[in-house]
Amino acid sequence: MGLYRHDFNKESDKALKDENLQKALRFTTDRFRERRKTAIAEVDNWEDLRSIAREIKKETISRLDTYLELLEENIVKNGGIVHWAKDADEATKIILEIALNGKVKSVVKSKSMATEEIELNHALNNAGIEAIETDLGEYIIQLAGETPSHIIAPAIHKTKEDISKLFSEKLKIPYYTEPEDLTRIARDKLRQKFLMADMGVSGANFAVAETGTIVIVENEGNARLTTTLPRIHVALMGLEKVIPRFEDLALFLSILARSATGQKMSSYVSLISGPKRKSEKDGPEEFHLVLLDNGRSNILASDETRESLYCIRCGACLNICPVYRKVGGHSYGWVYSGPIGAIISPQLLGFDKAPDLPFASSLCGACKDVCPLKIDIPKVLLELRNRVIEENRKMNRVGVRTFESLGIKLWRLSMQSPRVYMALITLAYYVQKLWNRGNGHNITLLPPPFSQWAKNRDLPVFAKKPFRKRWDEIKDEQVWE
Amino acid sequence: MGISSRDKILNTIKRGIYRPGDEKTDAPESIFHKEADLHNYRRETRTAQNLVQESENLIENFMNELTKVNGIAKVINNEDQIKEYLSNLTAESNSKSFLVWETALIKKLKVIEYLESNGLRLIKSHDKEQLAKADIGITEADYAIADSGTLVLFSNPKKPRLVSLIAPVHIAILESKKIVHNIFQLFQIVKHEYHQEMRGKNPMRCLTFITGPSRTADIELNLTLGVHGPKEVHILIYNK
Amino acid sequence: MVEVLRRIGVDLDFLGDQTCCGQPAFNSGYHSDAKILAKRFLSLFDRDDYIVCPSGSCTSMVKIFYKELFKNNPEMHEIIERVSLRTHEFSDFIVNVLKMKDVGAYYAGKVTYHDSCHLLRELKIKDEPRKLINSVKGIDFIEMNNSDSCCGFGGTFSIKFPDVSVSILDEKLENIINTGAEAVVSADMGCLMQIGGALKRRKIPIETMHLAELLASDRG
Repeated sequence: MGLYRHDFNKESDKALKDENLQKALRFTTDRFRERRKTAIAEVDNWEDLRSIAREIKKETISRLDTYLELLEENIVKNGGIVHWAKDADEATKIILEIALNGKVKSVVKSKSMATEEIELNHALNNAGIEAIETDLGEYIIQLAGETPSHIIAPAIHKTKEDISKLFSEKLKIPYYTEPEDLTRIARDKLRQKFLMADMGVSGANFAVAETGTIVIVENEGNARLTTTLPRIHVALMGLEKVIPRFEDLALFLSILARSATGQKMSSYVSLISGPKRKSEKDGPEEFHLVLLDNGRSNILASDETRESLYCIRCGACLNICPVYRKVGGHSYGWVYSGPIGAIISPQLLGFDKAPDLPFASSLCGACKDVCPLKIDIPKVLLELRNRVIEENRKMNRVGVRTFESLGIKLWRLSMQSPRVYMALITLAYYVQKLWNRGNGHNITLLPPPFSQWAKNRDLPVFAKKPFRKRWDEIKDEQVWE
Repeated sequence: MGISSRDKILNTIKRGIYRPGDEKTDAPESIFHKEADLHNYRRETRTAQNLVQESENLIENFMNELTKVNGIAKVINNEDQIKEYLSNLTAESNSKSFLVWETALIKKLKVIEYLESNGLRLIKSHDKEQLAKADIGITEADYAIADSGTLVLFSNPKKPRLVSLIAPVHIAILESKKIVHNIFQLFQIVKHEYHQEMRGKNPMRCLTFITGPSRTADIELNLTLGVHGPKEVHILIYNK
Repeated sequence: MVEVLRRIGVDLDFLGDQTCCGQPAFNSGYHSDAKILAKRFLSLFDRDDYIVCPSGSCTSMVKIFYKELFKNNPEMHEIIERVSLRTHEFSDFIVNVLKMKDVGAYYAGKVTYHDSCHLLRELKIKDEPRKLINSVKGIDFIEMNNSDSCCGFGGTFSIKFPDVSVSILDEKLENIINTGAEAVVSADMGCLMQIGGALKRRKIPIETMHLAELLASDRG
């Protein structure tokens, strides 16, 4: 599925050493944080909006079958076609079939994480169909042959100079450095593609069950062109994105833009309910909605992690996460990064593909604070950690975890006996004297795995007289005054 | 033939959420009437009948917000002022061709005649390549939202989608009485129209919200306007 | 902590049999091991007194996470409720239970304060430590930039992902150093080990102090 066994330390190592990336990450996350804060301060009932949004999502997910059936019914009424894809392979097969039936030679795409999840471009290319990304950030990384490093701004890891060089090499044009020029070049190149394309593939931020409407939120206008110019429009959407009523959009649109980019409203919101009417002069003749499962229905089945599906992909958690700020999106190994990536990638891909992600967090909880749907990401991380451990236990796998498991067991057993505890800390005092090369106040060398601590940090020495012993001496002292 | 994916997925979902002993899921209509939960955020909404009120304040708010998102707004009271604006704009931008929605108001204001008399060509073709040559697209807004500077455009056979999208300049005429306070109010009003349209023979297939010109910050978070959509958005607020 | 509480007239006891609330096991995914230690903690501390703890993470384990750990064990809910209610983090206890701010401390120096994550986000304790610090005679308290940003400790995170942990720590140290403070105060040992560990290794002359140490101070 495009992700070999992910090693977080290995991937993040590159990121930590990349000075330009570090600058970009700090700059970008600071900017998004500021903007989000300002936008939210303008809303005097922000906490209410979060609560209601969560209630609506909870209600929807708890009856997802009903809402999906209603959505399908209404899309069909509007003249659209609904496809159900159990997994990535099936989704790509469905879209390829639509393309082949429509004699499609070229496809324009607007930003869709779901299409990256299923690696659609790869499949289209293999079938001899040209697939062009039209969102500027996605176009840039497509030219560079890379994956997105942020949910909202996929190319933030690239400097102006990187992009200038990329355009000049790949598009065989002179070297321009200003964003205005680079944008104009992209606009002209992509305009040609838009006009020629037979099919447009988009994502969908929401789908309204009540009216059979999909909703696309964007700033550039490429999604509007993608869903208007070509004669076939295919929208691929995770099945958890459905919302019940048309009027619920007022709430969700308000919280999405503010949380994502700090805008009151993004430049364009398209509410699309089926293909064009016969008498309309523009718009697609065919409209297809492909509902993607790919593991989402399994997440649904788990009470403890079901709220992972409430996500509206705003990226606020990425921008506030201390870990993401240092390692960037590529370190997470897949299309979904940051705190939300850490909880859904393991659930969609399986723990054997993404075993590190649930642990690659300091559990600081900042993500929970900013999530517009109040998803308790730390809680889900803890649950996933437990599952990884339980799974290992059951499978009797031998590896690093075996030592850890043994260590925890020994530790726990010691903690069950105050005498063993005392013996251990007394022992530690004497052992450290042998081990300690430090100055008497600090330990500078430790045995593995704690050697990882001592690489960059000292540790205070174990006291000669532990608190418990001191307590015995002071416990009968008088209370002052 | 085997179970379809649709059924497989729905079965997995049902098994995942319903536990033995759960009541059978009832019809969705019952969910749509849960008004109590929405009371909080509905407190500012007004009914569709009360559109004409406090226009001055709304106009001012709308214009302030629009400026913040790099749009240009002007209040227009009569046909002559519109002509003046169009004249200045077309001269500055050296425009040669245009697209337009033929709405009642635009006809009344004689926009097409004026532009043609000034040497601009109305593109009548439906061919994409021809449409892409347009310098200006002129529409009328169905509604506008004051607190975000947003235009709301319905599409239909007489109001094609590309007119507000394909040319580098988009001019929208907006009747001041169509401006509402916020998005919650807008949806309360529009949902009635939307539902009526959907039930009718000719449902509205595309509804677009436009807030300022097209933009991106994908390159080093530098704001650049006019990526794929219009670079300029001019809103003429018709306040008779 | 004993010094401070006694100074303000609190009669204390220390249970010599106590060991650990179980959080390290819980955070690492070993929930069954955590449950064993949690049960031990609860039965040991199920008594009539207040329970005061100088750590936001341990306190939140008892007050917030025990409920989650035992969510499928309803028979535990009563004792958890009982013990949670009586458990207080150190600054919370002084400010909100004893309703005091000035505990007779004296420290004539410039300090800054780091908000520990569990203390801030789980227990929602933000003002209490600040009130106590500001009431110290002679204190010059300066807030750092992003005092609420994580220091990178995260328990076993600090040794499982040490480079990321230290990278996060680097920024925290930058913010501390920029205040010009001579000491950084926090209310959680994990944070203090993390921050202090790097300050010592890099020979940076900034002291780390637990809030209780600051409040026990009588130095000029």
